Amino acid sequence: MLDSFLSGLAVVFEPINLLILTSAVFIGFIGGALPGISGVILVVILLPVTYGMEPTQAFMLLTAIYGSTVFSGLITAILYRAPGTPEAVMTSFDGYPMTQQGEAGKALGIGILSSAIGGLVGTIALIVCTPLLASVALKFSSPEYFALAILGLTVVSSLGGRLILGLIGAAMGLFIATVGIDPLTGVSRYTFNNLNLSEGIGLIPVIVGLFAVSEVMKRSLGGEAHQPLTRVKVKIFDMPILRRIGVTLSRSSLLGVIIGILPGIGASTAAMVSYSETVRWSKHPEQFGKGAPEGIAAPESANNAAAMGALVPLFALGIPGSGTTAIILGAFIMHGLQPGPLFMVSSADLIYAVFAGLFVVNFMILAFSKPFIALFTRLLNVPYSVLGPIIIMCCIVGTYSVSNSMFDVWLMLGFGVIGYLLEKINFPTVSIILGLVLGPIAESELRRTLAMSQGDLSILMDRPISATLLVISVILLIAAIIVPLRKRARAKAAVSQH
Amino acid sequence: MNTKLTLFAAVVMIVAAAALIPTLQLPGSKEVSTLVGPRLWPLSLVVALMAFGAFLLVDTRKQARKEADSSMPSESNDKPIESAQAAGNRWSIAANRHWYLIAMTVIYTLLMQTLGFLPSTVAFALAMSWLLGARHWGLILATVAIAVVLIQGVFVFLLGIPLP
Repeated sequence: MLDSFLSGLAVVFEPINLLILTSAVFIGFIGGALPGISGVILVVILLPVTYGMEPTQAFMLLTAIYGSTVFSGLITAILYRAPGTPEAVMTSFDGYPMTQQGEAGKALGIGILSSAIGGLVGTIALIVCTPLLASVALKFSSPEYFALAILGLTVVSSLGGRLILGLIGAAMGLFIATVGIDPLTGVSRYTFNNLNLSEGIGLIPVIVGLFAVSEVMKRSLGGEAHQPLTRVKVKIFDMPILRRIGVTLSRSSLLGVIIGILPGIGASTAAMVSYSETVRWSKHPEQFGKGAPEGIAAPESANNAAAMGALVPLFALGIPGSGTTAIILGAFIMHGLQPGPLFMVSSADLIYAVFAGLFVVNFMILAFSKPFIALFTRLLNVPYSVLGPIIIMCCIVGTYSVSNSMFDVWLMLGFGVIGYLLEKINFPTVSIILGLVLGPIAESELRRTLAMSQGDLSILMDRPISATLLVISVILLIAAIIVPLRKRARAKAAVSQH
Repeated sequence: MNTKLTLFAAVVMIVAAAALIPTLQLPGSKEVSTLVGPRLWPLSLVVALMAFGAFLLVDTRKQARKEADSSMPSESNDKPIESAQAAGNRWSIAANRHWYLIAMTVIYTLLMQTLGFLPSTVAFALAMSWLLGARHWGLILATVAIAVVLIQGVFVFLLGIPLP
């Protein structure tokens, strides 16, 4: 493992790859800084661009952007109480009060250091846990793969909003994935004699349309929101503060890794859980919400650790641990690669280069964050009338470039409109991507499973691993139903008491 | 929100019912050499979509009734009764900017195939930045320049991707 990691580091330190990683960190920083561009949208816009790149470089770029956008969400959370990413919501609770008290630089320093430490702990867990999990998964056969796909689909329970909408989205994605020629029998499904549909509906038009185009449509209705310029002097290594937050950092990073590895929970939950645990363990819980340094350290270390942890099931099992990793899984498939236990064997060079890249990215975040924050406050004022047209053009040209097909561009625009309309009902659009990405695996493995058992579905419960995975999936879904019901009942009881 | 959700649930059920027709025409297990035919999986999904749509419809109507009974204001985005002025603004550019944006993008995509990439991109960047609120010529021209250089530079020169 160490040898592979060291050879991965050697790949990372090639000048072109260092340049790619540096660009990725800056692009990721900007993702958190520019209004209307999130980490997901950046990954989506750059997906077609990476199609022309070497897979190793493409995935170093995408995963580094993913890692650095999770970090950059803290800047707006602390300076303006406007979290750049959902993962940074908890950071604003204590970060913004510190800014109001004139300690923005100190708050940013704590956030940057905590993010880098959380990210490093998460990356180490990724390097250690992925091969272990993959070696267990090497014993998997079709029933286990089908159960894994089902477990991957349970991520819908963590996407927020109503579970039924997530289930509808996943079913829609699974159905869209059936369009094209059935690989097992060669029968055309839903192609309506259109040659463009015979290879199925591509991931790029769906992802770009649902996320990027719909976002531009939504943003076009809002006015230009300008933030006031803020000058801050960031201090990252402050020994008294470091001593104070040391225990919080260790506990929250570990919590973040564990939560991140579990499919369907995500970095936002990790930030919330670690924040509440820090309050519970604190001797001064009354200080939280008023500018406690631990209130920044806990969510920032946890969300960055969880973001890396969410990559473990992606690489080891081929199932996404979160919404953004579902899109990265789509990117792997677009490059003709299928993450999973065999992938660890067949593409070890690529995987360890990506791991090493993520390891280095955490140090880059530490090194570049100070100069970037100075630049950042100016970037906030780039008007959307400049960004909007450029994003739309990147979407069109990027989608076209993947298979030189105007049909894909029309599909992308159609999905853009659908995505915009779905946002009106707070629909979790990532669930469609989950279904689309996991659909082919789920269908082919179910059909192979049924062929193995002569049509007997009980084989799924007879085999211990597939049975366990399915039971976990059911528990996650039941929890997603019960937890909101209990919350509602508690709120009702509180209202009636008053 | 309840109205929108009801509409969405109905659309899901209608689309799923429409998808049932081509799905039932797919060969079943007995008509192909494999144990499970290409019909089973999509058929299960269509049935699941119909069931989920029905559940959403019933659940949303139930919630709407509950809200009406308790005469609680819903957490909805449903618009209150529009004033005459609001009704007049319904067709303004500001209220429909997103639809104009999509219409412009459709025209751009069509123009790209007839006029070529560069002239259509210049026209699109000009029109789109104006639509999104830019009124300074300097800013509009900067958008055009950035768009052309970025797309031509990254896609054509750096990645060697042929543009339409």
